[in-house]
Amino acid sequence: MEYYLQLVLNGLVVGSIYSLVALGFVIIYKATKVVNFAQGELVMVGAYVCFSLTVQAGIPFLASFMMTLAFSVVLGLAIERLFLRPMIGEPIISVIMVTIGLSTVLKALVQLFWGTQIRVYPQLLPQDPVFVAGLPIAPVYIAAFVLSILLFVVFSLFFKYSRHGLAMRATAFDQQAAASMGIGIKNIFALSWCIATVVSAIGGVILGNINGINSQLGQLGLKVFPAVILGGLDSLLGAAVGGLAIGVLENVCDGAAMQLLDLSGFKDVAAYVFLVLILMIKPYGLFGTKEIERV
Amino acid sequence: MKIRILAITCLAVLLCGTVWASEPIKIGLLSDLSGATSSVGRPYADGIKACAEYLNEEGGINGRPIVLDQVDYAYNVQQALAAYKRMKSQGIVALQGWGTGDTEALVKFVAKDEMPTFSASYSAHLTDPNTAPYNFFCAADYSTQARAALKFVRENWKEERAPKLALIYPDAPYGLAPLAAAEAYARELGFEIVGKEIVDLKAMEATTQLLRLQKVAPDYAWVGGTTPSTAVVLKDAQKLKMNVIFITNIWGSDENIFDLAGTAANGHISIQAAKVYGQPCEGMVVIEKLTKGVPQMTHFIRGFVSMLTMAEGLKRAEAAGQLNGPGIKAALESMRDFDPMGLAAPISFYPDDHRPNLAVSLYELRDDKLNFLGEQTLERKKEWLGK
Repeated sequence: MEYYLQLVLNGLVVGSIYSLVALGFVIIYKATKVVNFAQGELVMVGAYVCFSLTVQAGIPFLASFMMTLAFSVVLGLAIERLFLRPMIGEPIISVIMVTIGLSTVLKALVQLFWGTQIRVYPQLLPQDPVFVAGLPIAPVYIAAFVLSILLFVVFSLFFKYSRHGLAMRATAFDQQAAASMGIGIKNIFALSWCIATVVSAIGGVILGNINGINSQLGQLGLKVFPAVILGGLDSLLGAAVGGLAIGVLENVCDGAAMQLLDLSGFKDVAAYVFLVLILMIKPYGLFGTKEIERV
Repeated sequence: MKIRILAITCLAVLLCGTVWASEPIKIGLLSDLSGATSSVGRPYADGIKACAEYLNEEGGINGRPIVLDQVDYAYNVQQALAAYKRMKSQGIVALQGWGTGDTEALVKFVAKDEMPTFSASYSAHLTDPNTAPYNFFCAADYSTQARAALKFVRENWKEERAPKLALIYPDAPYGLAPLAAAEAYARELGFEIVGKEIVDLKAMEATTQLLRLQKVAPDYAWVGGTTPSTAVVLKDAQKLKMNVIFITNIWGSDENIFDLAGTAANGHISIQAAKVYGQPCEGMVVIEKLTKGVPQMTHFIRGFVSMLTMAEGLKRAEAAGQLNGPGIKAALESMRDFDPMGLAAPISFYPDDHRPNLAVSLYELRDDKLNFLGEQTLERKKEWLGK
């Protein structure tokens, strides 16, 4: 029993990192209906910028972190202005292709500025494990868990109660109707990209603290994709639950497959198996908006 | 008049000879400078380039300079194939390749084109000339590395009972390549194999797998991943307070492991096939001069050795007037105990056996350094060839 408890606990903390990255996907999709395939690369850029400020420029971590968030806002604005705004009104597939191109550009820029070597953050949190219900967890995973919960709460409140949040939801629901109500669609798009880059940067910094960074960090975007689909592409709650669920599933399924069936290596396929199953039952994910069209 | 014509003819022949002698020798260099393995691909390629620079300073290949035609194929097999075809059409005489995917994809092409190829994919099957006649590399193959490391730890095992061994590997060609060999040899040596676990190369944690191993309490665990995934294993093992010594494969730990794993790296064993920067030998003096004393990764040293070994084959082939595929292959296969300036164990290739050597260097990871533990050399057994 303790074995499975440890698996669940571990799945939750790793899943919270998935949730954090998934949040970025959802925020952009929620406002713009665009699946951003450069999400992983935004995580990578945030991680490298914070690394540069902390390690190469020698600025204290907290200040570097805040500066990274400020940089992310500017980056989000720049991406939206340069790449996405010209695409307004174009077919959605074209916009998605732009995000794929953007991912390549961001990866190339990271390699240009920082090279391909593995970079490591200074150790911010102690290495000694913290015991939760007698089970050991590294402090950095607890920090990731707390941060992702916090961000989920903040964004939930933002979308539910703030003017801008409501405007973003309205834009996502019907761009033309929102525009006719006086909502600045372009500003909403810019805001959603800013928020997504900020969230991604936070994810990148956490990941950098867990296992260093290199130019392959962007691949995390694909790893997190099942979590986004599972939760529902336009649901914040879905991102949080999807991330946690995939984290737990990976661990528990792997443990159970080994213990009961003597099958190893289930960890990396569990998420995709479950994803296929859930899509067959609920094509819009667990919490995604079900689109109904009158024909 | 006759004497004048003879003198002019002699001068012309001499001049032509000089022109021929200084004609560059083109070598293809397939590198991963921006793809999935670029963190180790770049230092390896830098080692090859540094060696070519050194060789050219020393007079090249019997007076002919080496020209490297480098392509960054970003660890993409299709790009590697396209680059190879272009290089071949532009007259390369040999190829320095890189990873498992591209080396495997090129095996048939280089055999058909009679293109001597060195790579950093050390799968044992590439050492069998029956299946890979034009493939070479300069380190002991993965299977030999695992066998040698196991022999080393078995010889240093002091207790009466059989040592317990676990195998941790990624479900990828690189991770799977030496698995059967390691398992069979471990049993032969009297290890008790208590667990086999898969840890992905991009793993963020490995607690699930280690919890299972914790129950069976291995004394040693062979880790066939790369440095980042090994760091995850080491940190999680430290978190779980496991009392196990990890033996990491050649790509499983390098100078980055200390930054990635911190104190969790201490006390574990790293399998290597070349000197690490600063270890005294003739070649290190050259490397330190070329790199102006800036430490380089162990992959750089192996890249240097790979080019040095290929150059020796080229020199022999050129001297025999056979600077072509079959000529270079024959020259390499005539190599017996070639000393790569002390940077790695002596290298021999045979027409029926392309294993460069069966020597493995073992290092203990401690205090942010790879500390030399010892070298283990195995017997060149026929039944191990290609397996």
